[in-house]
Amino acid sequence: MNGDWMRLAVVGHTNTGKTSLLRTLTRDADFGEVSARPATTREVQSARLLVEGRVLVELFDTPGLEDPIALLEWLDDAAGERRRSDGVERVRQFLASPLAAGRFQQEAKVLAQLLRSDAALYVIDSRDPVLAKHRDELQLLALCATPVLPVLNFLRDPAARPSGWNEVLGRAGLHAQVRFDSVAPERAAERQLYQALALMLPSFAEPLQQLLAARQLAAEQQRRAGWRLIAEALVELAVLRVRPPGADQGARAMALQQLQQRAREREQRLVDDLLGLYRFNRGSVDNQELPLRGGRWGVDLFDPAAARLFAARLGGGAAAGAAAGVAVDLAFAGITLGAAALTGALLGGGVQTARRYGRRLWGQWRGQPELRLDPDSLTLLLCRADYLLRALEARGHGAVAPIPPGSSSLALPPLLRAVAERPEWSERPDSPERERAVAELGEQLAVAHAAVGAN
Amino acid sequence: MSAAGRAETAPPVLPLWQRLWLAEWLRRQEERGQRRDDRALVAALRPLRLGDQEAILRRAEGLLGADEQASVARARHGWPLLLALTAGLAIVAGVASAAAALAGPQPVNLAWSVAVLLGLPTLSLMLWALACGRRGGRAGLSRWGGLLGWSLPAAQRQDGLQALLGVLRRPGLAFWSFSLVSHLLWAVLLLAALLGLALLLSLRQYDFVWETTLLPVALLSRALAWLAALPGWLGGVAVDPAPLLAGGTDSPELRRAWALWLLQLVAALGLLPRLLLAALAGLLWRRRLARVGLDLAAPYYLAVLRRLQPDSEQVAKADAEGRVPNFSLAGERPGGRGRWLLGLELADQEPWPPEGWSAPAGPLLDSREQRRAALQTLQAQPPARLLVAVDARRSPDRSCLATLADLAACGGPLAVWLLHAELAGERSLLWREQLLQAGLPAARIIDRLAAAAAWWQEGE
Repeated sequence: MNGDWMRLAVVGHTNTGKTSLLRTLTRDADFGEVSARPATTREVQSARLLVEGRVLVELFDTPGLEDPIALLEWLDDAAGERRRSDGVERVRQFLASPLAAGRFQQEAKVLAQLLRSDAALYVIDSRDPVLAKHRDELQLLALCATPVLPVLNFLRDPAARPSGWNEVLGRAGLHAQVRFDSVAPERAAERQLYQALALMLPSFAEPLQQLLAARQLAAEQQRRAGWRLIAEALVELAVLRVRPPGADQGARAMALQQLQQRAREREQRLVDDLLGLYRFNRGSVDNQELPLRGGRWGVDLFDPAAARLFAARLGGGAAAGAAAGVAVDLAFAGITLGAAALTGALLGGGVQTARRYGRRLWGQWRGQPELRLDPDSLTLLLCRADYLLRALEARGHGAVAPIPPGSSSLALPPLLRAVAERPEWSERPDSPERERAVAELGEQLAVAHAAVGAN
Repeated sequence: MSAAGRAETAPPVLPLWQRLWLAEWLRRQEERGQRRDDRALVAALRPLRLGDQEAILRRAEGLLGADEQASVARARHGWPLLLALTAGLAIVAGVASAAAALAGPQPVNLAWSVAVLLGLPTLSLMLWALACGRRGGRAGLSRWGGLLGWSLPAAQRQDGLQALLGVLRRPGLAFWSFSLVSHLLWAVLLLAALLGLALLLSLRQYDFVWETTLLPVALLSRALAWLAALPGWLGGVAVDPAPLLAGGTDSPELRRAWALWLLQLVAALGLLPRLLLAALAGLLWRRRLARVGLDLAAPYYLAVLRRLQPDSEQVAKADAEGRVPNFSLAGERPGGRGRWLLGLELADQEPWPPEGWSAPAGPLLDSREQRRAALQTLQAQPPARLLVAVDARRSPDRSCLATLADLAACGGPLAVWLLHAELAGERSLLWREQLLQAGLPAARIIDRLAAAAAWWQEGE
C-alpha cells in the first residue's frame, strides 16, 4: 500500500461485466480474461491507469461476490456476540476467521480489497432482476464503509430494467450512479464516471481531471492519426495509374479490373489499419455495432449499392447509382502539369522525373492511355472511411447507425485533386514530398470532418 | 538485452537532426514491415519517463543496426573537408575574377571590371531570392541535403537518403542551411576577389576609363551614380565622375580615387549583402533547427508511443489462485415423504408456479429468511422428491449451488428445472456444466415442462 494514487475496487456480483469495464477504462483489450463462464476472475488483478508514465488510478478487478446471503448471515450471527463493533470491525473479524480462507475465500478477497481501496465501482448487470442476494451484496459493501459508485452496465440491452435497480440503490443510500455499457460504451460515459468519482472524493479531483484531459487529448490524436491513414489511402489510389497491355477492349477490361482490385485491397488495408488504431481485434468487431462483418465492408466499393447508400453525399454519376469506377487519365496530356510541379521537377526531380513524363507522353501518343480511378470512387471511399471512423470513435454510439439524409457532402479536397496529378508518386511511396502531402491532406480532412460532425 | 543496456546508459551524443534522421530511418524500415523486437528496450525505457520525442529517439537509437548508426555519425565527418575544398575553390575563383577584372588592354574599362566582379554574384543572388519566394524552388533546393546521403553505402541509400531528406525538408531546414553555406562561400569568393584586387592595385599602375561605343553616355553616367549610391551612403569616398567620363584618369590622385572606388564597390555591393544574408540564414537555420521534431501525429509514431507510454499497465496478480469449494448435489437420503416444487432466485415478474404446472407448488426461495424457513421444514420432514426451478438466464453462482447442496442434503433425489433454458443460450450450458460438476446426474437436469412433470410423476 504505497504510492499516492487513487485505488478503485471494481466489485459486483459475478458475471456483470467487471472485466469488460476494466478493458474499456484501461484501453487494453487483453486485460484479464473475459468469458460468459461465471467467476472467470478468480483472484484480484489490478491495472494502473497512466498518464505520461505516472500512475493516477489503480483499478482492482475482483472475483464476483457469489454468496453474499450466507456471508451476511454469518456476519450477522457473529455480530450477535459483539453487538457494539461497527461494520469495518466485523469485516476485519471475518477476514481473520478460518472461514475467510475456506468457504468464503472469494468474498474475503473482495472485502479485503474494499478495505484497502479509496472507493469502489459496483458493477450491475441491469438485465438482472433485483434479488435478495443483490440486496445483501449492497449491505456487505456498506459494512466496509468505502464510498461506492454504482455502474449500471448493459443498459443498451432491450432486457435492461434499470428502474428496479434505481429503487434498491436509492434505498441503500447510493444516489449517484453512472450508466455505462462496456460492450458499446459512449464516449461521454467514461467522462461521467470520472466526474462522479471526483465529486465523491474531492481529494482525488485533480488527478482525475488530469486523467480525463489526457484521455481527451489521446482521443484527439487518435482521430487525427485516423484521418492521416485515410489520407494515405486516398493519395495512394489517386496517383495510381494502370496501362492496358494492348489497345483492344479486352486489354482495357483487364486493366480496369486490375485497378479496381488494387482499390479494393487498399480499402481493406485502410479498414484494418483503422481498426488497429482504435484497438479493435478483427474478432471483436462484430459485436460492436460497427458497419463491418468480420472486419470487412458488406458491400463492395464498386457495387452501385455502395454508392446509393451514400448518394446524398456523392455528386454526379455515382449518385445516380452508376458504378463508380475508372476514368481515362487525360490529365497528363501536359495540360495540368502545374507550374509549381514543373519547377519542382526541373529543379529537383531532374532527369528521372523528366524521363518518366516522357514515357507517359509516348504512351499517350501511341494510343495507350493510362487508366485511373475516377473522383467518384475516391469520394465514395472517403465517405465510407469517414463513416467507419465515426463509428469507431463512438464505438457503437446509437446515432451512428443511420446516415442522416442530406448531410453535408464530403467533397474531395482540392489538394487531393492536385496530388492526383503526380502519378510519379505511385512509384515513390516514401518520398518526403508525398509524405508531406499526405500529412497536409490528413489535417485538412480532420478539420473538415470536425466541421461536419459539429452540424 | 544489449540493446536495452545501450539505450539506458548511452547519453544522446549526436546532434538532434542526426537523431531524428535515425528515427525516420527506422520508421521507413518498420513501415515496410521490418518490425523489430523492442520488448526489452521498451521495458527499459518505460520507467525513465522521457518525453514523447525523446523516448522515440532513444528507441530508434537502440534498435537501428550498427551500420546505420555509423553511417549517420559519419555523415558529419565529411563536411569540414568538403567545405574546405569548396572554400579553396572559391578563393581561387575570387582571385581569378580580380585578375580578370583588371586584365586586358590598358586603360582598364571600369564598367567591364564592375561587370566581371559583381555580375555573377548578383545573378546568383537573384536566383536565390527567386527560390526564396517560390515554394517549388525551395522544395527543389532542399534536395541539396541529399549530398550528405552520398556518403551512404548503396544498400542504405533507399531508406537512409529518403529519411534524411524528410528530416531536412520539413521545416525549411535544408533551404536555410543551403542559403547559409552558399552565402558564406560567395562571401569567401568576394573577399578573395577584394584582396586580389587590392594586391594588384597596390603592385601595378592602372589607368581607368568609363567608356562605351553603343550605349548613350548619359546612361553610363547614371549607372555610375547608382553604383556609387550605396557606398556613398555607407560613408565611402565620393569621387567626381566628370574627369573619368571626360577621358580617363591621368593624375595619380584620380587613379587612386577610382581604385578605392572599385574596392569599396565590391565590398559594399558584393561582400556586405552576402555577409548580412549569411547571418540571417544562420539565424533562421538555428531557429528552425531548434524547432525541428518528429511528426508525432503520424500513425506510426502514435503506435510506437503507445508502446513506450501505455495508457495502462497490468500489475501481477495480487493473490495466488484460490481453490473454489465444491458442492455436492449427489447426496440422496431414502425414506423421505412427499414431493416439493421450489423456486430458487426467481424474479418477481416470474409466474409462480410456472405456466402449465398443474401439481401443487412449494415456496419461492430468495431472501435469507425464506431459505432458512424452507430448510427447517425440509429437514424436519425429509421429502421423497425435490424439484427446484431456477432461471437459466441468470448466472449459476456459488450462492445457488450452495443452497441446492443444502436442499439436496435434506432428503430424496433432487432435480433442477432450468426455466427459460431456450432463451438462455450459453448460460444454460453453464448451468448444466456446473450441476454435472457438482454430481447431479444428467437425467435430473430438466429443461422442459413435460420432462419436469414426468419426473414429478415418477415419484408417485
